[in-house]
Amino acid sequence: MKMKVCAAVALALVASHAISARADVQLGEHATLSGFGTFGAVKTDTDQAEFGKDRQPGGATRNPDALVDSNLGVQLTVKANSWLSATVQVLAQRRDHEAMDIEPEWAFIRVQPMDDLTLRVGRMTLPAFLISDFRNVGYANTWLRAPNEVYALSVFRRLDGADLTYRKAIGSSTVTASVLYGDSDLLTAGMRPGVDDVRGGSLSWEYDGLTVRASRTLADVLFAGIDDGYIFNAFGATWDRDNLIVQAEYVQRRATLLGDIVASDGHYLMAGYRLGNVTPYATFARTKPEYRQSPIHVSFDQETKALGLRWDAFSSAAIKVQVESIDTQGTPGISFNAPVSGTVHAISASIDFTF
Amino acid sequence: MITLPRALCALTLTFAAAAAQAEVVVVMSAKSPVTTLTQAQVSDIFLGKLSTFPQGGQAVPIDLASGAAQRDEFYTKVTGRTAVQLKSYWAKQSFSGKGTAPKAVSGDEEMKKLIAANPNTIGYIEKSSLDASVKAVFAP
Repeated sequence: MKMKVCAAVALALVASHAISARADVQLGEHATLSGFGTFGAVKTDTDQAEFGKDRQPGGATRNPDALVDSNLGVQLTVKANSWLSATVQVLAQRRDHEAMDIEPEWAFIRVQPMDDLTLRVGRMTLPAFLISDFRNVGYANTWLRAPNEVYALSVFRRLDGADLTYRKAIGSSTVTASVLYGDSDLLTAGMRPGVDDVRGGSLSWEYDGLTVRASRTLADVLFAGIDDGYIFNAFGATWDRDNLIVQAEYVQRRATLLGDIVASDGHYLMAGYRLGNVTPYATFARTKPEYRQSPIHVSFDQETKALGLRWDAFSSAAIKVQVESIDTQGTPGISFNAPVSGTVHAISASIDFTF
Repeated sequence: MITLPRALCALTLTFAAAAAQAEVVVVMSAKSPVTTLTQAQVSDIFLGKLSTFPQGGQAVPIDLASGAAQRDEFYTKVTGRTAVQLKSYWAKQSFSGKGTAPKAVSGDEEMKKLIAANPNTIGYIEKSSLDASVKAVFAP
């Protein structure tokens, strides 16, 4: 396993070296081919359970795992004219199986009839969070991995449908309002319950380096013969100016019928400071079920304190390391596949690149 | 680790480039009806947030290839973003299908040629390269 990780890191270094000279391959006048990826490895100090993210069925123990964070995305954008374009992005990533899956993550047509209005139809990331749109793009993020305490709470991440976005500059600030409608699929190992009538809206306000955003997503989930109403609320803010980066989110997951086992809250606070090409950062994240007396939960208590460093070592690649301490109060938390006792420590390293 | 010396070299070049800062001006075709733009407008056009000029007409920004000292100066002064921050910004935009970075040319002469020929384009050049084919619409 160690050899595998070494080989992956070496490969990533060679790859980033080879590709950093070139970005965005122009194919004729209208098409652009680009891509991004992460080669990362993580290990913990326990063999009691495997550490992963989202719905990943397994992950790291004392044995390092290279598939928790690694991914590779390739994107083709065809721009017909100033108001019409199409985007397809294929992403290889460990999702709900042990091995990597290759799936189209985005495939949409974008129409911009006027400067302020955008309509997208097709497959998109469900924008439940502040950084849903670029969460998979390691290079676009300060941290090595989005806090699972918040980002794993949303049990579906994609939208097959349409969204309409209106953006308006008011004085020196910008307000963006967006509504969406479509279907999705739940990411669970083995089962694929139907997720229909996904509808949602978001409102964000940007001023200077500050972005504040609120969003609400509703859906009908058909699970084990029960048609339940699903509700996801998210509030987030980012400050990115003069080398200081602060980001925080608070989210609520609710259900109409199965609220006892589904309802959970999560929040995190991340702060980083750019010192030239090096950005040290710290993150605190926490999630807890809403109804503690319920014997079963979709996810359990978990609290993570993380310290990390992003180093923009190359023109199109960044190296990151992150150490974290995770307390699940004896439960599986939201990042483990079995209960763990005591505090677990994890160390991760990655290289994120774009091409 | 053959990549380390290269990274150090790039770092040295970045500092060297910063030390030799030139004066940059934002230019449009002499035929363009636009006379002057604000810093916020130029910033929005180059970050893909604004696709038309306030006076009307499609705005097509033209960039210099990354690594050019003028480019770093332009973006730091106009958008408040360093080259690394800008790269991260375009990764966010492009991989969520929101937009792509402006097309880039290799230098002032190529920039002027493109801009002079198309009144919708906007770019930036070294102040001393100004001639009758283009006009300055903003000086950071």
